[in-house]
Amino acid sequence: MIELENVTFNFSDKGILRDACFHMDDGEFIGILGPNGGGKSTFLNLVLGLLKPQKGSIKVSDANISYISQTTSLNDSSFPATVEEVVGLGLIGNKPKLFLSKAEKSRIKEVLIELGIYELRKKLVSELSGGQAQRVKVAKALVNNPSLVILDEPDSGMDEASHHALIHIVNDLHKKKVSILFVSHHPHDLEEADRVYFIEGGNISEHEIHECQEHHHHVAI
Amino acid sequence: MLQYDFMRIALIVAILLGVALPLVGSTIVHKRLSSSGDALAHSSLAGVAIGLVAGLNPLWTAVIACVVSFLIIELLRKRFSKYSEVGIVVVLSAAIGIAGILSRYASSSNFDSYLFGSIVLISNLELVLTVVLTSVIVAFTLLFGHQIFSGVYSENEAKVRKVPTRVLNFAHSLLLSLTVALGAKVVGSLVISSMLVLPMAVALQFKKGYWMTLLLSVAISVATMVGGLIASYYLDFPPGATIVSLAVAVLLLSFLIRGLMSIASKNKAEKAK
Repeated sequence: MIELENVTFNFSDKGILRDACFHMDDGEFIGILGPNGGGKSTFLNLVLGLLKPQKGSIKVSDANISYISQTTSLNDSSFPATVEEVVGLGLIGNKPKLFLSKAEKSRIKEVLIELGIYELRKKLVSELSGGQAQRVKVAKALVNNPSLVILDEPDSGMDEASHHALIHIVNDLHKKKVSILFVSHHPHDLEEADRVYFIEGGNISEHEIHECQEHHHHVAI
Repeated sequence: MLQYDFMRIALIVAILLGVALPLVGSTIVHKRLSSSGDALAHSSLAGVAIGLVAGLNPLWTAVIACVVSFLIIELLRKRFSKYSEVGIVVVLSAAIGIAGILSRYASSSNFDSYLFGSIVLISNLELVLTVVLTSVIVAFTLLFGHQIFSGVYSENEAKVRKVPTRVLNFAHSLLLSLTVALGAKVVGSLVISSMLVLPMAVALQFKKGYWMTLLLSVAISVATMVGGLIASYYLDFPPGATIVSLAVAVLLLSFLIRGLMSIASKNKAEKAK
């Protein structure tokens, strides 16, 4: 599904990744851990096609990818958009669309109910709490029934309950054979992961989860 | 007023531009690039000066100047990615410099008609261009509106979902440049950039969703364009300046309404407690 072969990217202002090799199969749950500035975001941006590698190759199979980004976007604080409008953006792709179909509208309703934010559907995203806003992002990512979900530290600004709900959703998706690539700074978020990679100083290496927990603890100290 | 052909045409153009301006202007407001409208308006003026001095049709040279300026702004935005407003300031300054120097050699009445607009002196070509451009902008918004919304909300997420953001950004900016060049002739280059932003600024006060805000901005824009034109006819004021002054007055009124609405909702909440 995702294959990186000897990928190098080195721009001081955009991040660093050195000679990275990585693979991920269909239906796998891969966790990514590492300190801030270690190269996690660079890795994700390369996988997402937002950056082009200077060396090496990246193959991402033609999957239906959903991406839950790290921070609530700059726009969320003032953007005039309702919860259901933002969730509907998850259904917008490369083809122009005059209106959302009846089936698409009912899918939006379904996912809003699933995430417990149906009552908020007419509210502006700028009026939501951090936790509610992140639930909207998750709903936007799930609305098009993705085959691969990429999460970049999605718990920023989330309260405890929303965080637990998110981990529960991720684990559920994995059980339904949806591929998960989860970048987190909490090793315990990745307990159900099939494999865990650690990225530090632009280097990526595969580890057992308990090694990462120890390393993470060491880095945190 | 309607017995005069020029006023009937002016009203049609005011309605058409009233629709077109917020449709292209909303995107630059959402992207926090409102001042790019200003840079393009000044570029259109530089284009007019070049056209008048070179003996070419100033409308076409204004269009070319706007498109070239937009390309330069985009290029400089990439060059100074963390200081994207630098490109806008560079183009704005260059345009003012060129327009200022060349205006000395251009006929002042012609130059002034672009500076302050001449909505009551619209040629058949300008009328046809306004009809075509507005139709294209409406069709573009209907067809690609969801994708534009997606790119404006989060460009990276839109790219991941394969939304053709680069092509859409280019097409939008081209339409924006053409609207500014044509609108500068009609309402004046000094006020055209305000009319790109002010209706949206008013609509934002009502805190509605994306589509409702866009519709509101179109309604406010048409109302202020037509209202300003009618007021200018009866008060014998310059049309462009009257339109933009009315738009500013509507914005101030919307602040007042918004303030009263929030006081009322606070009182209601306190009573409920």
